[in-house]
Amino acid sequence: MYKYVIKRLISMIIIVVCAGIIVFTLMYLAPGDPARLQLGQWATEDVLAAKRHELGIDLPYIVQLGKFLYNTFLRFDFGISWQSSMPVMGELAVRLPRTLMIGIPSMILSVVVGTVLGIFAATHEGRLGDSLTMVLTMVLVSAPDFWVALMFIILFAAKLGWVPAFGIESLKSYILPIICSALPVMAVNARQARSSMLEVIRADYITTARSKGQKSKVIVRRHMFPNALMPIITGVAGGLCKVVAGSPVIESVFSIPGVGAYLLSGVNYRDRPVVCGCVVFFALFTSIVVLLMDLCYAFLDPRIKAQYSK
Amino acid sequence: MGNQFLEVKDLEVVYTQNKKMVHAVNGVSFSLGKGKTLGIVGETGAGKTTISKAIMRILPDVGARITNGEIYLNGESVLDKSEEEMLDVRGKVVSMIFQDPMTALNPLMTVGDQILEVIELHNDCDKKEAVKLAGDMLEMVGIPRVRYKEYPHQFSGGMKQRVVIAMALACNPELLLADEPTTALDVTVQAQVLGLIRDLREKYDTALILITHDLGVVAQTCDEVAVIYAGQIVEYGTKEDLFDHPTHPYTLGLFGSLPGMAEGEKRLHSIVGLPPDPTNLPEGCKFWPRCPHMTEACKGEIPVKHLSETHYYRCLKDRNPDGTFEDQTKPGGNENG
Ligand SMILES: Nc1ncnc2c1ncn2[C@@H]1O[C@H](COP(=O)(O)OP(=O)(O)OP(=O)(O)O)[C@@H](O)[C@H]1O
Ligand SMILES: [Mg+2]
Repeated sequence: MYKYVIKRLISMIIIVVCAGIIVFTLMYLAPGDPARLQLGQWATEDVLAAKRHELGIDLPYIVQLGKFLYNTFLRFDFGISWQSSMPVMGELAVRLPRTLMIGIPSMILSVVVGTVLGIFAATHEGRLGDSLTMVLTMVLVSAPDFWVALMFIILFAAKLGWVPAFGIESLKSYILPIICSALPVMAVNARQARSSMLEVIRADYITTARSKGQKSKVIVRRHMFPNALMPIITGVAGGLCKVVAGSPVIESVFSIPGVGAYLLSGVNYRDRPVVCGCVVFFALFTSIVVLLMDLCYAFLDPRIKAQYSK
Repeated sequence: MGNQFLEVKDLEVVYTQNKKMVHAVNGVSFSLGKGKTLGIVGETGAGKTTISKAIMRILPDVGARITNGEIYLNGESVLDKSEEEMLDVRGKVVSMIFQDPMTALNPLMTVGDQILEVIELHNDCDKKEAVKLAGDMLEMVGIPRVRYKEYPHQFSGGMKQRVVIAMALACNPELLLADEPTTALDVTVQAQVLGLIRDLREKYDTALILITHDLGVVAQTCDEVAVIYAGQIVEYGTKEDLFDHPTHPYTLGLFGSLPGMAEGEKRLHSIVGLPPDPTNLPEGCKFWPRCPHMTEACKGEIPVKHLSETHYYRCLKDRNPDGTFEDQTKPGGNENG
């Protein structure tokens, strides 16, 4: 088993480095002159050249790439934002807690409520509760998140005044963003949980369990749920990956200076250190989550465990 | 009501699939005494598994309905029992060996725990004793006790089938429904498994319904035989009745050239044509589209004819003493033109 983990860790490092190379190259090729974007239209050619030299973007591609890889992966330094002249690492450290304040509760909410709804719908297949759940989740999946966020602001902040409309002054101001980012994920989780439960409900071993005289509650808990868990975990892992990235839309609508908003402004200003730093960080986090997910599978399913220990 | 151990009366089961009604079982009646064995034979899709699941009330909750009929077990109506009362029947009074051992076991539970589950449900003993009993069951079906903690994927098909059998027999049921218990196994294992079932039946006086495609097994094991076609019993009788005087054209077709059965053909013969579409069954006799003796009258009411106390069949035609049919018209006569 540990051999497998080591193998996976090595491939993880390779993947993250590749992600770094790709995003660096894309930013390098992106149109627009970072020096001009910073200094404005009327800057003279001399000033621009000096700025380019300062940023190090007058060097050949391969040299720039080498420096980037060396700094990022050997010195663990994401560099300094061209736009704000602040270290990217420090900025991420300040912004990440705000993003997590939204991301983690919203993920827990969406996983718990989504899974429970999905199981409820599946065990009431074809009945009213099932149909209502399916309609509700369909609406939530398809409603655009910025629109839902605006409607919530109008209703709960402007009309009812229960919570602030934006900002991060009080804990209360996180409530709306959490709910808004949880709803669509919850709907997806519910549909996923329902369909994997339905698949399991029809399985022969469920009939076997019933033929033993087992109570249906225990059958759901002991036989159905563990077997339906794999696709549900996949959904949870997908949600978890998004937690650190945050949602640029939600953060913009609620004016929350989080990681998502940071990446968005980085892209707008061709701020290469910011974009590359964010993407490498996301890639690292995502591959850790995926590894944990695979280990979860092995823990749950003896067949997968048997494969890994070969 | 009912003096036999198991009585099934006019059972009808309908599945709903894609808004269509699948008429899987259409008025099946039979009864079975304690310690007796009934063989059920018939083509695929005839409704054999559905009948067994109906007796245990383990048809799918959604999409399956028992639309008519009565089932009595020990004189008590099974269909009138509450779900809670059924929990005490399933696994203890009646248990079932499922057709496909590859899918009948939960892949995430050890085989031992799966046997343990049924023991804990129905036996008043502590966990330790129950675990020991589950191990005993494994050994009884010829699997070493040390494999208790292994998972189904570590077992071959035949061994999984044994686990399923161990599970079904763990609480010494009074009625065992064995749904093709040997089809998934190779020949040598088949014999072992059948021997096992026979031994247990003798030991505990268990009544057995044996669904099979194998006439040799029927000949060796069964007291009575029901031939099922499109969810109906087309012929019913003792083993001797059916092997010596098969009467319904479908039975004749299935059994093929029967005399010399003992050493010759063991499997059921296949019959020209396809079984009818259960969403759209023919009027009258369900077999007429494939029957060599078909007449226009076959599309009407079909009487049940008794040849003796134990032997009946469902056909318009009378049997000649030599076993052939008196054809009023030639097969494929012009009246259906
Ligand atoms: N869950 C289900 N939903 C819809 N139709 C079903 C379902 N289960 C069985 N049927 C249909 O009911 C009919 C009888 O099925 P059943 O499984 O009882 O046949 P069988 O005699 O056991 O066949 P086999 O020898 O292949 O096991 C078939 O036409 C089958 O397609
Ligand atoms: Mg079957």
